[in-house]
Amino acid sequence: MNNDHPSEFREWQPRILAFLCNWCSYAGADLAGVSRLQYPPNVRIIRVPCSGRVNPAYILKALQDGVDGVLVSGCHPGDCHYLTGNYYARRKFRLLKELLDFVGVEDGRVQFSWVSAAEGAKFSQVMTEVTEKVRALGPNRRLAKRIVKM
Amino acid sequence: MTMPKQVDLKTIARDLLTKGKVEVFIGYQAASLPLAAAPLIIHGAKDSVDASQSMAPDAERDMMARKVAALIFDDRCEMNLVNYLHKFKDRKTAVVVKGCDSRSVVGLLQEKQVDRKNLVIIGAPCRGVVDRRHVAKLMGCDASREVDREGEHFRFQCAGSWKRVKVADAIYTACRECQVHNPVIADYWIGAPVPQPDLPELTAEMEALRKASPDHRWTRFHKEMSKCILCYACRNLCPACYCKTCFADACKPKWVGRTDDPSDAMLFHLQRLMHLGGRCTGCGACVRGCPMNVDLRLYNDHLRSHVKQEYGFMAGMDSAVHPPLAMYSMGDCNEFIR
Repeated sequence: MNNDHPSEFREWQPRILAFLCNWCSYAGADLAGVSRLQYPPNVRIIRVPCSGRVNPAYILKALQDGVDGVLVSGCHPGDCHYLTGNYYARRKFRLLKELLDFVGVEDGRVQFSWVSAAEGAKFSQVMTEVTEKVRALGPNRRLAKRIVKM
Repeated sequence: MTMPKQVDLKTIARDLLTKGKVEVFIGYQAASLPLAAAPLIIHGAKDSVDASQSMAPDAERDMMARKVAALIFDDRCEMNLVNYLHKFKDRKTAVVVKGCDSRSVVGLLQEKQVDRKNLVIIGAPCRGVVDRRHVAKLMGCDASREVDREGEHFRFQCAGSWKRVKVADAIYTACRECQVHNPVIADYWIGAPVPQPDLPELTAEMEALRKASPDHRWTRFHKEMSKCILCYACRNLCPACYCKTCFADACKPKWVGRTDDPSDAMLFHLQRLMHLGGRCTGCGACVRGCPMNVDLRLYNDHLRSHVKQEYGFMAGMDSAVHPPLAMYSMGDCNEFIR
């Protein structure tokens, strides 16, 4: 689906990719769903075993492929199912954020959160805020690769 | 650290090779291009892998003597020879290292890529290496082969006469900003220690870029990356890039496209920068090797200073310390996470 050129029938909608850790954030998203909590439908979720599993390259590739925003969400520090995965993730993401800020990728395109399995409401709130922030930033043009369709 | 013994380069090379203390000696020799040096790898008599074919012992000794006689160390020696250590991992190797290169050795030791027992480190205190492409442009002459240092000036021979250029104008940016003129690890030194000038933590360019708007920073990044032709010279020259299969060469999954869209160059460099985060020593080999003059050090510099600020870590200074991304702390910054 070509999201770059808004057709006359629909306006541009942000496309957000969310990497959610299986044990906390994904369960939190599930709870939001079961509780019928509303949040914007612009997110595509990818379930990973742990936030520490998220290779920064996934985030960068996602931006190259044209997604407008990326969220990575994991367990709160101290609650990681694998004990320390989210601690390593925290340092990695800090470094990635520094790098992306320095090269000029807009602040707010790539965001991080800690959402536990009981925080359905928080998940819904985070998704709403991330979507609105990315909507305000507009389509991702900076890192996206233009594929010419013949 | 006790001062390593000061020796003469050719004497120590001859000594190490003929007495079988090392199997391989990696140093510099004069190259065919003006103001350039090339690596020189000398295999010793005891080197079992370099099968001396059917060379007579006399001929072998002569060849080794000739090679040792070709060893140099001066302001032309820009290459980071630590790059070659991976080839000779299990053999006793001697390598000539400048201040910056010695940090690369420490980096490899930190990551357990080389065994200290197998290394003889010949440290060479360095006052900067000549940027030959820049000098050729400055002087309008690319024929000088000899370089002479005279106080704060270099003298280059050009069209029969000698011309003078200020040292600060003639050396690489990495050398101007170098904080480690004297090797941090060495078994021998081939020169007297040089004074270390006091330098600001961040260069003026870095300060300006950090204060600039994101749009300005993006324009700069896009401009630099648009020059990149994905030749991978930067990766090939980098001593910290030693993966047998680089992510850029992997096809399942394919991390880096190979089109001429700047986005591919950006993705390659962003991913490589993440791999180098906290490991890059700022030796400048990448910039020297780049045929398109992409300013890679700028981005490495940013992550280097970030890591120093956040974790108090400087890559390649102490082989007993773990790289910061291999560790974590309860007190790590949490503010950017919702």
